[in-house]
Amino acid sequence: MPTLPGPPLPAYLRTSYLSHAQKVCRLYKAALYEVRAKHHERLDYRYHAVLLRQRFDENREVEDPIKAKALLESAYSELQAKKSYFPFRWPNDPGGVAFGRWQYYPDALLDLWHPLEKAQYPDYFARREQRKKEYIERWHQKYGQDARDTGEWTGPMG
Amino acid sequence: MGNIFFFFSLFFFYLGFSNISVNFKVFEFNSIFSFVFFFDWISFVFLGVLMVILGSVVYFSCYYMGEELIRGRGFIFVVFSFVVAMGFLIISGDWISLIIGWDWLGITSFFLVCYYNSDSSWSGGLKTYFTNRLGDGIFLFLLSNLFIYFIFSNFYLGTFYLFLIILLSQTKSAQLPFSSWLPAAMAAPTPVSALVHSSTLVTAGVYILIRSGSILGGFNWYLGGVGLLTLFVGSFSACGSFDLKKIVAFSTLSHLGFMVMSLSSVCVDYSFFHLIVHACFKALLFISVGMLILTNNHSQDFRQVGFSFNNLFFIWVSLVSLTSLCGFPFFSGFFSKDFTLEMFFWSFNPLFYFLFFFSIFFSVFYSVRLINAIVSIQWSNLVKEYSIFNIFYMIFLLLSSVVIGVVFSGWVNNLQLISGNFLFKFLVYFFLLGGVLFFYQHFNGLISSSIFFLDSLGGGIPNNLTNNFWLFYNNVDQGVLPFFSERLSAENFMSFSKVIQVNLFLYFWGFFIIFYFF
Repeated sequence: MPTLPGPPLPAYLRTSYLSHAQKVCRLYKAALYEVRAKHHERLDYRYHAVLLRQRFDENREVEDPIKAKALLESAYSELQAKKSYFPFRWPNDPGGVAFGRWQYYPDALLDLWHPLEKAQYPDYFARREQRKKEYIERWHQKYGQDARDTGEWTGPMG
Repeated sequence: MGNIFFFFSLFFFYLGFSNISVNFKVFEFNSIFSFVFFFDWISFVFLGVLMVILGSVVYFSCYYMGEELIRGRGFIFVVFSFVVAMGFLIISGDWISLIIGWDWLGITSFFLVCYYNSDSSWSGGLKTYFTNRLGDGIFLFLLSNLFIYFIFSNFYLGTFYLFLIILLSQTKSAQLPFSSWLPAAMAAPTPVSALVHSSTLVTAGVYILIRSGSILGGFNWYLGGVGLLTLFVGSFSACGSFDLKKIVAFSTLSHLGFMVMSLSSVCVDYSFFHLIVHACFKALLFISVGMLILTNNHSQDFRQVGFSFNNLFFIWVSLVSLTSLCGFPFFSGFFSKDFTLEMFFWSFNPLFYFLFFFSIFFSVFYSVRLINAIVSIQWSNLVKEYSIFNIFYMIFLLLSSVVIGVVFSGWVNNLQLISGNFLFKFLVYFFLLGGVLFFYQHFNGLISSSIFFLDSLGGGIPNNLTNNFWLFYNNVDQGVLPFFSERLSAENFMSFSKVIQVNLFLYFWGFFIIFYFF
């Protein structure tokens, strides 16, 4: 399941290059979420968030890239060790309770509207009819005039 | 639309009070295979309560599911199908009609849990259905041997078959080896949880044990042990959860264990009484917590609750439900729990005593924790406003969670006051008070909710099932967790043990001194 940014994925699962600044920002966000998970009261959270920011600000001016990378890696392993078992996630974030509550409906559903409902959006439906005609023509040009739809599943959206 | 169900409930309660008993044979084949409905005061009272809860849930689901993009997905159809199945089970008098209700219940509950498209819904649905299916397998085996016997007869069925009946009820009612599906089923929409996982599906197992109560002799220790462990695990795990719905799910689990325990040692009517009362206040708790979740944009974490003036009503309602849950004097939970509690004062086994009274303690602890988290709202999240004038549907459940105990206690058969040592009566309140006080001690990551490694017994289904191989491969299963939520370091142990030591010393020694010297 995709989660908020944590330690870097193994090399065979990485899909993008991240700069050092991006990694640091992702670490900061993940660390702040862990602080939020641990400290439930607002003042308490704010105090520890300021302390966390102070820790990041101390190492802000490090010029040596090797040292910076070493600091980053040790910070990531510290984050991994201190992760809460009940991570703080907003509901629609990956890892939250309401993540993945997708609702699919096929485009053909719009054809089932009542004419009076369709009359409320005349321009849209007129354009839609035109586009349907163009789609059918393009399809016949691609597959020939005698070809017919085999009924294969093309996805949840129809 | 839900009003009609409130009228049906009045009708059923009227029939229930008239104390009739009708055995209605619907179908018979070759004088062996028969299909019987049995109408008793138990059936009618349970149906009445079911109708009240259904009416409230129908209104509640209009708000909760009203935000869905597609309205015509058949949610309410599946809910009604579930209720008909439950009605079948309640009025069934024979194994054939019972298995129809039982299997139908399992299938519809699977569809209800799987309503959303998320990974957790899918894995939760599978866990629910597979555990139920295990019970169905046992049921089919029983049916092949026992179809000629009525479920309520006094005919002794033999130890093996009795054990299978008890095992059957364990799978359905989420007793200990089979309880991992109940927290996982919280991936269902909240109206479903209010109807299904608070009062109907999970009590089906206890209900058949109640119906066959006269033949359960000899299994008292087994039932008591299983019930006790479920009670303890449920209430302990609720103390460590941060998800509102999971806390309520664990609380349901502990109350189911309590019902099974009261079956094992006390009259069957106590268990039924608690079943009814628990259904009322638990459904109310789910609905009020569900409205809080709804106003917080579906956030179920009690660390994320935002403030709205209209939320205050739902907070108050959940407070009423929680006080009834704890067994606070003269709310309805008091009448159903206290009689059973007094029976367990005379238990000889110290471990039993210890676990049982700690479970009461923990039940108060998690209630206070929940209400503290909800009341002390400090985060200014975006909160959706709901009109306070649309909450009248909760009135019946609200009244019943306060009043039904008084009404029914004078009427349930064989309910008698246990007169004992005056101080024994206060033992319970020591524990209640202790639960409240214990909450305000400061711990640092004391309790972790791993439900005692039960997830590993849940068929090995991880909590984040997905069809994407790489996501599945690279995951961390959130099920099996160690006991402490912080690292196991010496100083954590010391702080934990010190606080426990001080508390226990002051609290229990004070009690024992009073007990021994007065």
